Amino acid sequence: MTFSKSDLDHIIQLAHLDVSTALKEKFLPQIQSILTHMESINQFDLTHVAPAATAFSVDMVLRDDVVVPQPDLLLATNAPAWADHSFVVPRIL
Amino acid sequence: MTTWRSSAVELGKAFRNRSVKVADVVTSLWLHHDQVEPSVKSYLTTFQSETMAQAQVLDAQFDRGETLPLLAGIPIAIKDNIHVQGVPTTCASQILKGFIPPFNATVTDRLQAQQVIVTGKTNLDEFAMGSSTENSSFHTSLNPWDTSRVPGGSSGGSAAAVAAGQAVVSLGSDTGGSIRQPAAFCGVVGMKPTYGRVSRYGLVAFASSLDQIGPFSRTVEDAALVLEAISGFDAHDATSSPRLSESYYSSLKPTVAGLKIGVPKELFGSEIDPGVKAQVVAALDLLKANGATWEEIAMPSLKEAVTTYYIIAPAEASANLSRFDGVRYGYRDGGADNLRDMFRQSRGGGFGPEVKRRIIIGTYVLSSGYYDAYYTKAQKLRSLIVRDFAHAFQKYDVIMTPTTPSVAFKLGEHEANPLAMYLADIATIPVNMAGLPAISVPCGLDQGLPVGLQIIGPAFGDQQILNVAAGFQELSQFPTRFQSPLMRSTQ
Repeated sequence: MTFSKSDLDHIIQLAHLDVSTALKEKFLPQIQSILTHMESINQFDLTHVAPAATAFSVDMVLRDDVVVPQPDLLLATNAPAWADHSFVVPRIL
Repeated sequence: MTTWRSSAVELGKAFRNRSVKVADVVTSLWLHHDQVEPSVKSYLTTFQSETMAQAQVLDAQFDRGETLPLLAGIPIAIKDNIHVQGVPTTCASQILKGFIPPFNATVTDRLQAQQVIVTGKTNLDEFAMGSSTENSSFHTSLNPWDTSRVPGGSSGGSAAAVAAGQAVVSLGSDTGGSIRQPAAFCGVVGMKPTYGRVSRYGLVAFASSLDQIGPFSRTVEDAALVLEAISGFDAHDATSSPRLSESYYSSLKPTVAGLKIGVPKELFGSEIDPGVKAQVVAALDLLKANGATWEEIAMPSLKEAVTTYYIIAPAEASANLSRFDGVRYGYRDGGADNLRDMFRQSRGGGFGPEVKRRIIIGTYVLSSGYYDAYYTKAQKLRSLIVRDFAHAFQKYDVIMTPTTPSVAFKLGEHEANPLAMYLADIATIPVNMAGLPAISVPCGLDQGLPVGLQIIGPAFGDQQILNVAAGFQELSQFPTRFQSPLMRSTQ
């Protein structure tokens, strides 16, 4: 499976990243090498094996539906931009 | 004499019988820290003045004869991807610049209930992605045994702090070996509990199906003591196990005689340095001479565990790290004039190269056309890894391996070849894939540097591996035999 420069650009776009040209040049052979190594997984016959999202079944725990005191979430303190009880972001349109 | 060099168990006894004051230990620990920190750079933040004030309060309580928890007054460092309310959590990343967590991690709550003294937040690879701390966006921590070498990672700061005597115990997180590998490199004890045994609430997520918090210490008793304090069900973590937690410290029973040990040949061949292998064989033979038996076994899927991990972990990371977008907290690039560019530029400016590389790989293996070829296959291989361990535990009480294929490597040694760095986790990754408990204990020296022995148990066999580790400690006396030069550097 080949991983081209245009694949890299496409994935960077999907991942909402900004990667410099120099770093892309560094990444491309590294990621190609990693993906080639990953193909070793094909040596196993996995036809009848079920995929596992977790190591063993974890009983999903639901909390009791009770109101608990909410701590100060420090929204205004942590927000890069905050006004009128809202996060301020650039215009969408 | 009982000092900051002592174990948490010894210090606790001395505090209670009043032969040592908490304030004296804390004062001398900081004096030592000031001398060694420029050489080892374990911490990102320290709480010197707060700890002094807390020590005086604790001494007053002890003087009044109050019964305090076993960990009261024990200096403990916390990895900087675990929240301590009101103190910055950086994950060693620029993208969390200015972020103050509004709540404690559950482990922090539980330690504070024990009245520990939190010394500070320790360095790590950015978002716990790495094996050396060289991916920290602040600085690289150094190995207290040889400062031209890495302490391991990602919890390198927590391991180095304990090995250098800058904390008595510490907490780390382990997604693919990030507690056990630095423990091995720094010559200390490091334990990854069973998945679900310790709450992940307040641990910044890297790969949610693999992450687990655990202790570093200089003795097995201290690891048991800390695990006992932090483990147990937590309603805030949907993967927290409802099983009752055990009294790991009070139930600790050194165990060697009659023990059946399996050693996977896939992790005991040419990929392991001869010097490391020799020390592990000597450790296995020491156990054998005292009534255990060991033999090599076949676990074919382990050979591909690293491949499986480097598909699953980046996939989960690419989803988990999508929350860092410059909107609600952390770094925002102010130059963008639309939302999409703001996301891109903030993430581009805030994440370091290794994090970007893993997000790209994770996004790729989850993308249309490649999901089944990579991600589904990796999940299937994960099933085989789980099955191989289950088969092994039908015959053996524990599985043992070298923790790492080599001793601590030189700074910059793997910088140009991330694949080589990834393959250094060959022995630790299978344990995370199967959700099992494992502990690394020092078992010898190669080239003057520590070698780790990894003891793996069945799911929820945390007590069992602590007992075996305690048995090995009794035979090998490793806490007194292996102390870093920086640990011994202050009178």
